[in-house]
Amino acid sequence: MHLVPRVALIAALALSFSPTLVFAQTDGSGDPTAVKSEDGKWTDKDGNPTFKVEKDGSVDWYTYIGFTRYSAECLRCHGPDGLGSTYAPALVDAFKRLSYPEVYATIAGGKKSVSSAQDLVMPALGSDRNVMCFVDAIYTYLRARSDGAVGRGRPAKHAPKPPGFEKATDECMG
Amino acid sequence: MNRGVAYGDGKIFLHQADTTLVALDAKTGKVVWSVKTDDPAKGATGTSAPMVVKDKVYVGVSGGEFGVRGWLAAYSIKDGKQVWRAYSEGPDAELLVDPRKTTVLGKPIGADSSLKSWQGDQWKIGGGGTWGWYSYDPQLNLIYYGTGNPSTWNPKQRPGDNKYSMTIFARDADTGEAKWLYQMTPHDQWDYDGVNEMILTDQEIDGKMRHLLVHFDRNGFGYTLDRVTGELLVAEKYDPAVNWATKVDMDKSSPTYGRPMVQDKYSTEHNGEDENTTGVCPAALGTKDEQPAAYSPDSQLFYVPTNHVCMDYEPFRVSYTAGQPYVGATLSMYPPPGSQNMGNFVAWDAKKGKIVWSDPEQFSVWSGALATKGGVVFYGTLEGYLKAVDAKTGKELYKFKTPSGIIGNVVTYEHAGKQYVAVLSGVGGWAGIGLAAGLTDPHAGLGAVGGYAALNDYTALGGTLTVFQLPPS
Repeated sequence: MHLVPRVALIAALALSFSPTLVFAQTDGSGDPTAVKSEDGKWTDKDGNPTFKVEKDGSVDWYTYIGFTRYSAECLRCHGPDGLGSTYAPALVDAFKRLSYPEVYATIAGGKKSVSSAQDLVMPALGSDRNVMCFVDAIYTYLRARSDGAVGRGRPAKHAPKPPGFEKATDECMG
Repeated sequence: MNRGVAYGDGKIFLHQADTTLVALDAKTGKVVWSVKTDDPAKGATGTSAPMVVKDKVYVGVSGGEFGVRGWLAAYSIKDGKQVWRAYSEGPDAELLVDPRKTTVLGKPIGADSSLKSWQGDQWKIGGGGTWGWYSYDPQLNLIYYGTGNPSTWNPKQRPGDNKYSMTIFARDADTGEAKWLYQMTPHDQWDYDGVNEMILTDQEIDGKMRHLLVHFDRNGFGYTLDRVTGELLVAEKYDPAVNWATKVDMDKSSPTYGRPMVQDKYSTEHNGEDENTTGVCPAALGTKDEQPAAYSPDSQLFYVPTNHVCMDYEPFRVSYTAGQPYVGATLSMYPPPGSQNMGNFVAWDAKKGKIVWSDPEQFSVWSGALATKGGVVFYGTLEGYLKAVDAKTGKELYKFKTPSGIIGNVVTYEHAGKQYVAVLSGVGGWAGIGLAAGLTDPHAGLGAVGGYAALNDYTALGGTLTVFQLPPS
């Protein structure tokens, strides 16, 4: 009986103090809404890499490449679709807290979280081109997974390969 | 993972995962000698069974997914001294080929044939592992074996034919020099390793006795060659679902003689990087993988355990780091559209290149086959059945459910006047990796987990030797 008024009260409070919290999702990097694109690479209002999913479910190129690269380089520890495993955390959860610079620093520099309760060691991948040349794409894909914008498995449809992608890949991969 | 040991001169030979070849005293187990064959820090591993011929033991190397440059080597069984080593790619002197005497399809291979088929020095990380089986013909004193996939799995990154990955070699057992060779899948784009066994038979073709080599390749073609000269006699699909090539060009006057006619639609090179090429048959695990076929001189048929599986294959750019995986593609596998079964047990006429009969199986047939004088052929299934079928018709005569899936080879032996049939069950291998390793992602296990997910409903893990005694005749 008294549940209904309480929910209504919380909603009213949220609306009055911080309207954006109700209407837009935020994650560790803030509002993921895509505002700007440069050669198929989307960024949010703060300049962080982000995803863009069309109404028909088609994802931007970098979210798609992020899926491929995640599956090739990260899946073996962090599990399929960013869902975690017995020895590495679920990134779909971690991305709700972690900002883009924090994610970048962890991938490049590694991480140790060893205690009596856990024994988590992530290697530093800063010199691994197979990871670092696609770090923004991997971030973008996981951000989309974490925000629920992209489901499990291979995205069924994606934007075409941007004209500059292969040249940039060649330059980075050496 | 290890594919077996060999015996000779009172010693057991084992090629360890860390590429140490050890000779153990067969009676005491004491190490007689041991020698390092390659560098595990670069991703090289020893997984295949050594072979002993006369005073030498032959071993190869695995690591095609790490950019390891493949080789076959002969060591003296007395003291472990290396006698020769022949690389799969590189300069002629390291391939152990003579540009004027070593032939391909009847013609000399010419100078630097491998170097010319790679861009720059990519051959140094070119793959061509030798993790399969080796055969020996004592009359000809030749060793036969096949080489594996070129590295990486992304074909765009390694222009050229990538010689001599995916190649059948015939080498002099004493010197290692190649007498002839034949590349089955130039510029591989699907991971169709050429390492499957080479079965040596003598059969009559057009009234003439021929010394034959029969090979069921991962790429879905059954090859029959004259093992003396390397002449290509037959190259036909042993699963009608095979679609990456329409046929092998058998016209001796054609510039593409001996080459597969690749279909653009299924070419991951043609479709390019970051493009998911779909519906390619067979899948990377091949129409047949390492599970050996059997031959019956009575029926003159080959009995072939096969996979009936297709795949999606998406290649992407990778950067090489010594000792790190160097794969460059993601895969997923599934039965061919319209098929319910993922395997067939096939009787094959290697003289004509024709399927004589084919028994469908729900899952890939991942056990070795056994043909017997009694006109009965045995094989095992991934659900765990040992099956006995009629050699002439394929009709099922008997089946028995063992405790786990069968990926072992069926064997028969006589003891104290009684005949026995035995098989090891215990699911695993590429097809069974999802079940064996507890994997659930469909792309895991190099793409095999999705296709074989249902295996879980039919069998369980285990490791059991089941022995059958034949009733007295």
